[in-house]
Amino acid sequence: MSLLTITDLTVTFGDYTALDHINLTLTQGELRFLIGPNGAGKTTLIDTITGRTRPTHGHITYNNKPIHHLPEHRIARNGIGRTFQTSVVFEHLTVADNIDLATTHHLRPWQLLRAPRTLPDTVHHILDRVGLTPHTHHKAATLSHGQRQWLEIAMLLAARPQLLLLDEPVAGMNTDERTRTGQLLTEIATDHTIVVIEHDMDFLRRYARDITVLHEGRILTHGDLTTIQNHPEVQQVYLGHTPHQEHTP
Amino acid sequence: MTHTHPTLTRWRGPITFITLLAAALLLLPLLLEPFRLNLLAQYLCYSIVALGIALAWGRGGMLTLGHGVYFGLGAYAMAMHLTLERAAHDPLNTTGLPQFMQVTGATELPLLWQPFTSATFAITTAVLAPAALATLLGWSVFRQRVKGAYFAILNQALAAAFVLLLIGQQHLTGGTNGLTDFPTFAGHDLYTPTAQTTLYTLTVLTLATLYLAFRHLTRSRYGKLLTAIRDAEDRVRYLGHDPTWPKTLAYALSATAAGIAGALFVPIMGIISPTLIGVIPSIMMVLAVAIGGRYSLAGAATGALLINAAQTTFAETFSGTWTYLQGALFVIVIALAPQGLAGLTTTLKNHLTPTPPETTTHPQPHKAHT
Repeated sequence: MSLLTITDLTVTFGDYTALDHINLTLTQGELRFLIGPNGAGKTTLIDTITGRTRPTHGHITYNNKPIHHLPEHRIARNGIGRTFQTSVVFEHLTVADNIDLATTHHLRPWQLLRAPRTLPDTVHHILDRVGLTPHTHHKAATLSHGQRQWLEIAMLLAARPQLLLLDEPVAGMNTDERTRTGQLLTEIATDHTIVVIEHDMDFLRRYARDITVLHEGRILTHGDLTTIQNHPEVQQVYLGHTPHQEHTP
Repeated sequence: MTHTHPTLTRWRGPITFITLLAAALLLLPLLLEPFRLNLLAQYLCYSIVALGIALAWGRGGMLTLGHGVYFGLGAYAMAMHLTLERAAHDPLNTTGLPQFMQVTGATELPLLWQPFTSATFAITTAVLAPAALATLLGWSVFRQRVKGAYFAILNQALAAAFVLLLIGQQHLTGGTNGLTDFPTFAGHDLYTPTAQTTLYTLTVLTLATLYLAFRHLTRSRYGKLLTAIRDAEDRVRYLGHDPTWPKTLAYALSATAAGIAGALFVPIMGIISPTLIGVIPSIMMVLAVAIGGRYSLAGAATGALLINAAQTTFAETFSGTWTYLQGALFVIVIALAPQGLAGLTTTLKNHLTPTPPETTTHPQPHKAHT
């Protein structure tokens, strides 16, 4: 069943076309990787799905309902969560409060005015799932880079989304952290639909099966890693731009 | 959160609060002469304003450079009632009109003034008018995602416009002279020491109640949401929260506190005029909070008390230099202790008692709001 359908999506900033007639369908339960050189439009695509950027043309439907005109928080309430390239957590709140905040968007204003004495079970459960239980009562500002990324994913899970959009979740992580993130992703993918923007070839090789390549605002091709690597246009694009970083033997 | 005496730590806050409250209510009225007690009551009115500013600015990140307006709305509502009461009880006043209106040649009470003959209406207006104006302004502005310096400037413009309105509508407001000389409230002589002690007690109790209420708010999920919005408003949206109403609520509550303070201030001070609520007084209100510590309710309230006390004391001894001293103090605080006096005490406490590292992190100034 198709969860998200993007039809003929175009986004322009002045003269610059960031997304050029994109058509993309995500089915329920999919784990899709999105790659492409800088400026390909990967982040713009996520921004447009989540309401941060408005489409110039085309439309996006989610569960068969159009969402591209909704404000950000309404899109989020419909079940679409996202992270950012540089992780944004609420540094002055504890790790537990960061997650708790993500679970409460459905509460009415007066329900928020209460000060709960104990943490809800869901918060404990999610802390456990992402491995942040030892940091429950620490301020988010004290977390390491990798832990912040996991906290952000934990916040997403707490909001109970169906679709997760992750913008470079392993950027800046060390090998151990990458492995843990990969395992976390695989585990979450069992009950969520996920789109991951990622550059790291090693990470892609280990975890990516479905890859969509974006270039200059258009979808270049789609397939598994071998198909992508042997695709002449992809080779040309990557060799032309950043051969040392992206192209692998 | 210290590892030594958890029970002691838990009760330290409530014990301090009750001790301070008891001292303020029972001890100070005995120790201070009526004149000093009246001054203290005035400062405490500014402490109430400070609580509100700490909520909106410290917690919510909304730099409110126009709280004089809300203070003024509360103050004028109360002053209008007291003015009418004086006119009604003045045997020499045959028209029943306030004196300044007779000068401008009015023959009957303006429509705007008529409901203010009722004390209940005046007090209700003092509370609700600031709340309503702040809700209206807040909702329309926050919905459009106006924040930071733009919001601050908008507030300041509001304060400037409000003063112009008060001066311009002299036949309704008493113009630059404002409203003054309120001998009675509900038939009670306001100039007696008993009346002044009662007003002082009322101010202390209001301050204490609002402190507890706002403290509860900041600790609730709502308070955490507000902090989250302050630090990363966009992130909050992608978690499904609409930042508009939490910000509007904090701003409206903050305005309400200022309105209540204004209503208390009038019978204590005996005058309200545009010079007390314009741009400069509005900035002074924020300044006091910055010096006391905007992230701490208690710090903000103390800051307002100290700054206003210092103003009186220094203005008595060397009047001219105080303004410069105040400016210098502000610069020093912003440069060296951005979390104000409250931040300094926390740092000091942490130096004296070793605590686990995670409890020693304080909110850092996240944006240059100052």
